[in-house]
Amino acid sequence: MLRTEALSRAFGGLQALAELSLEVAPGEIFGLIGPNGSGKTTLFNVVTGVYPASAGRVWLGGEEITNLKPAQVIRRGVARTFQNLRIFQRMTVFENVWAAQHGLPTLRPRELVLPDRAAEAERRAEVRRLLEATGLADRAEMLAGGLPLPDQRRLELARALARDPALLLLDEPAGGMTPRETEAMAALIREVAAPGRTCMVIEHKMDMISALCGRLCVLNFGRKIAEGAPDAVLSHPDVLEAYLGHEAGDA
Amino acid sequence: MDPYLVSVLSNIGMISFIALSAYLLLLTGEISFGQQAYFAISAYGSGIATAMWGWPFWAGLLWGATLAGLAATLVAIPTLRLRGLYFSIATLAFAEMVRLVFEIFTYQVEIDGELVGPDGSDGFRDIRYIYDSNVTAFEYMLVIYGLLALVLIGFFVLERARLGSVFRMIGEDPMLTEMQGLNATAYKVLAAAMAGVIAGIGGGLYAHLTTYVEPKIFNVMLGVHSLAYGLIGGLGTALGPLLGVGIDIGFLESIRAISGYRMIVFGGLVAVLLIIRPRGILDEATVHWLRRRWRRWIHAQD
Amino acid sequence: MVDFIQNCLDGVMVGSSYALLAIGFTLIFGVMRRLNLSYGPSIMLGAFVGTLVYLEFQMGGFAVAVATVIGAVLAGIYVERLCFWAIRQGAAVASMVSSFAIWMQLEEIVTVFFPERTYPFPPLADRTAIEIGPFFLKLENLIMFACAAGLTVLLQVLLYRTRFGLALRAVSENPRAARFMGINIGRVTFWAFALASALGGVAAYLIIGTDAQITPLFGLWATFKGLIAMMLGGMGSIPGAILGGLLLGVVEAQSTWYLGTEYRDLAAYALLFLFLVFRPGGLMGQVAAERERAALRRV
Repeated sequence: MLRTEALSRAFGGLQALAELSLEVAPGEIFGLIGPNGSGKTTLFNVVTGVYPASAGRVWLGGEEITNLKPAQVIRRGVARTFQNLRIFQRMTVFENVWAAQHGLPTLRPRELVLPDRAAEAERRAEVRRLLEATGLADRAEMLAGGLPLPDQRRLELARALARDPALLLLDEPAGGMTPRETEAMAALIREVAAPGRTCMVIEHKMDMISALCGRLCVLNFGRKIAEGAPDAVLSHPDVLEAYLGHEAGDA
Repeated sequence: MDPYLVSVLSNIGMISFIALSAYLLLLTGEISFGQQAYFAISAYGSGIATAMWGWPFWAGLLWGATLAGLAATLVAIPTLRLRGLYFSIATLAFAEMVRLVFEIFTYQVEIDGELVGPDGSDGFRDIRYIYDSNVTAFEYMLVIYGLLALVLIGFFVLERARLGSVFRMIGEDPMLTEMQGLNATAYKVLAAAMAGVIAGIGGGLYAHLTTYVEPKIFNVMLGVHSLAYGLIGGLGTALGPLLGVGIDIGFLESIRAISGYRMIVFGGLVAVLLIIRPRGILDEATVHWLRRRWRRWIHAQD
Repeated sequence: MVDFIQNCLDGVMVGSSYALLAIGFTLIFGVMRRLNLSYGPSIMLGAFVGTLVYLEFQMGGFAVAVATVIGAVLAGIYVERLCFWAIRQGAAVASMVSSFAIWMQLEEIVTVFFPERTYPFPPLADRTAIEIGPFFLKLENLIMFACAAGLTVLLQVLLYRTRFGLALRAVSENPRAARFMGINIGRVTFWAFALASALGGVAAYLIIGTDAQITPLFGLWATFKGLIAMMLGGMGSIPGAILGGLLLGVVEAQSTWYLGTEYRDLAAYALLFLFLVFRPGGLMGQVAAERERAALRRV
């Protein structure tokens, strides 16, 4: 589904990603872990075109997408959430999810001004279904800026799902959540991935990620230091050495 | 109707166009100091069409607004790549260039033994179509408000449609907008073109009301005022800029006691208002609250 | 060729006053990342305080200069408190529009107290010209140039040799990091504003002194000249502001000579527009552009 080849990104002297080669298979939930500043979010940013790659290439489902503009990558079936929560604060919860449909390739430009009645009703029903699924239905008419943090994370997920993406990039979907909320989020992600959707998840919560993901990749200083099944990866000596020393500070 | 009242109302109507024009760009998060340029281009363009080429009023107005829209698009393409402040200064530079070009622009033809047409800094006299056609000031005021109503309806349609939501998204977070698969720059150019046309309608109306335009009217004061109107009145709805125009021209101008000190009062009022409400009186949160109240009230009636 | 060089000389002389205005602008912008449109009008108000001292108390040059600077600083502080300190950091547009509103206010305050179109101002020097070979230089312009150069050196010392300068540069480089280092951003901003206004006051005294008369339009003139010069040089850069000011002066002098007075401002705005489109960072743009990129990274 997603393949990177020797992908690198430098910021001045800092090598945020160093020759990273990864392959995410269709339909799997792939975990990305590593200490803070190890390049996880940078990978999402380079894949979605927020930053151009310094070197290396990216393929999405067999098509090369290296250095495309963000909108072009997104239109090819990618959606993401943000670690530091980016929502349209001055819009309602409903509008935030509805907004994700504006750029759908199936929406004709004319429909931005003059919608087809039936199609628009169907799309609005879809927004309501997503709000229902993420447990936000009763807050649909609130301004999104006033939502508590866990709800903002769920809103980000609902908004990403409104694009019905083939590849979903989740950046700390359970960040700042209580154990119970984390569990609910994990269940939600599993549900979302059930119809064969590919997911990549960045997360610091080890219990959640090892239960959720089929495979994990560990980054440190922009390099891949281990990859494979959660149990094998988490007991890998390099990972223990590079990661566990930092974990107390990270979690 | 009292002629003074008609003239004040006509003024409010015309300034509303340019205020709405600046407001549309403010929705996309862009601050333009230069919407008066499109107002000026259309004032000259439509005036030339009716007074010199003998076109009918509506054709002249359409022509002026089209010219303004084209100019706005051409300026938007290179400048909207710029970020924030750079764009604002670029619009200011362009608008001043337009004004200074009109200061030296001379194009006159002889009609009935008299020279008609723009004459540099002396301005452009005798745009007499409205008077020659025996349209009264009151009727012309109705024309202004008819067109203003059309533009407002357009804004309300826009606000309900996805396109309006795209503009607001860009205004809040361009990168997040791109992350919804939308080309933010392209939509900004579209907004700029639409804003140019709206300012152009106002400019054409203005030239035919006053029959005389001179370059120095289109200075940066006009542009910054029209920008301020949206910010005073509020960015939550298209009624915001109209409220701003009403407060400045309608309310303050009519209080004779402060006639000599109007700007002192207005300036202080705006400064204090922006401290309390950085996005104006009718900001998004207020409009949202009012809408909910309204809907609840409607439900209660059922 | 002689004409061309003479124009360049004239341009540099006038440009040094633009440079002074641009430095004030860039100091404020560098620290706040917000634009103070009221900069010109507030130093204009200061200059009218100077005029008042000159007309009412018949005092000479130095007293007028001091009065101008004090007036400019007080007006600057008023603007800072109302338009910048009171409006939260995120609302840059609100600050800018608010500073415009205060511009209107200051201008009207001045016209209420000074209803005539122009008022006399103590001339900087008598109108002697100095001949150097085939070239002429006006004495008053030379004085202005020398003062501008002197002030620039003083400012460099202040910025690079004092604790306040260090704090100011830190805030302008990275406000968040500066706050974590324990720098009081509000206080630095306040003093940067006062400093910029004082510089503006000196600039106003010198510029108005060469004309020997003052009008309320000076506010608009100063804001625009300073703004253009700052943009040409690159926002937030002091060497850029100086270069931008000199470039603006030279371009104006050349276009006046070769095209005519009516083309002078047009040429200046066209230059600004082209710079913005093709080199938005201005003359010293590399530094500014790098900082922009750093800001993007924090997104």
